[in-house]
Amino acid sequence: MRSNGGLIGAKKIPNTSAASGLWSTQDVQREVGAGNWITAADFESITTITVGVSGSASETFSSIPQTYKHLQLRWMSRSSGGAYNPIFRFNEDTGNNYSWHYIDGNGTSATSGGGGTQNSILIAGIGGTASTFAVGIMDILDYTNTNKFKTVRILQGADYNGSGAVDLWSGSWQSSTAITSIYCGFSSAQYSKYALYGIKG
Amino acid sequence: MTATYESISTQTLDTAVADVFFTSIPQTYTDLVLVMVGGCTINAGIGYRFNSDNTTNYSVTFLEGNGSAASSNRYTNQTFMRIGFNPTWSSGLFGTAISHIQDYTNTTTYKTVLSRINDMTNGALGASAGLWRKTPEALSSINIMTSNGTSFLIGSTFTLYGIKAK
Repeated sequence: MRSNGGLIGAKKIPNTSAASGLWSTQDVQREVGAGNWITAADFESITTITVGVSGSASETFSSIPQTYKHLQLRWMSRSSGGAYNPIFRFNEDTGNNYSWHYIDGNGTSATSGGGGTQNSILIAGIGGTASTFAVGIMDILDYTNTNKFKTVRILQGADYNGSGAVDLWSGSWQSSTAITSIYCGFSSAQYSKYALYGIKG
Repeated sequence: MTATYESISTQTLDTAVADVFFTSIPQTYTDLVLVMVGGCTINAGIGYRFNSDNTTNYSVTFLEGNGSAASSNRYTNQTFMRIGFNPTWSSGLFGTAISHIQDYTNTTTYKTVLSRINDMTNGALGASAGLWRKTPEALSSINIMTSNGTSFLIGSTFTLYGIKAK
């Protein structure tokens, strides 16, 4: 628990007993209740990548803290060229250790498919229409566990007022290694964003 | 440490109304998440208007399942963003919906909304990607509405969260 305004050292907020210079349990409870202190969160921002004017061929989150239970990656991306299918890899593993399945709605029909023995988790296509960004959320469960293969789930979509798609995706990385890095193979235009969050268990 | 995922506001209806508003949304978060549990007096779709924009700036693509088959549909050039094609809320069992609005304060891109909704009474669920393509502006208000003007049931709850990225 930390103070909201760097006040933990000097007892500035509770005026009534400031002379003692010591925080009591009651002081802390009162200040938390008043919103002056904020308790440590269970859903925390780890890092965010924002693509600059030159665009980006890929982004990598490395040295991911091993102190959470789950990870959530939230992205908002537009292709810097034509439509393409982004990919994800973990721990720089380019072997055929991935598989994925999906259900997709393209505005006309729903389809399902998948791929086994893949060198990445490949997801639905992203377009390059000006000002219009695809968005997605990937949950990576129990990413530090060394006894399980890793499974992810993804909700993503984009609408272009007459075209577009929305998808539910699952992916597997057949490795029991803790995830320490995530490669995002997105050919991204300016203003694309990738934000990684940790969820405590 | 500041909180990353915070409740901004919750509304629980004590009277049946056709519109629910979140206004003066703080501009201090990165993403918004809207969580809803509710019903309608008559079967109705659920949708949004942002910043009081009631022009044809909304479109959406749906993916749905009704217990028998999966399907997909879309709406273009709409005056509000419906978040489910067939899933509706009714006066029976309450339905749920969760929408994610990413980077809602940016003034350079259109806003894309990812949603999931279910209809426990009629047995359907869906996901959608909706687009609000007004000349990019920060999103500061949300009008949650029904597709046919019917009212949300008493007891329906609407909670808006903010997610703050580093």
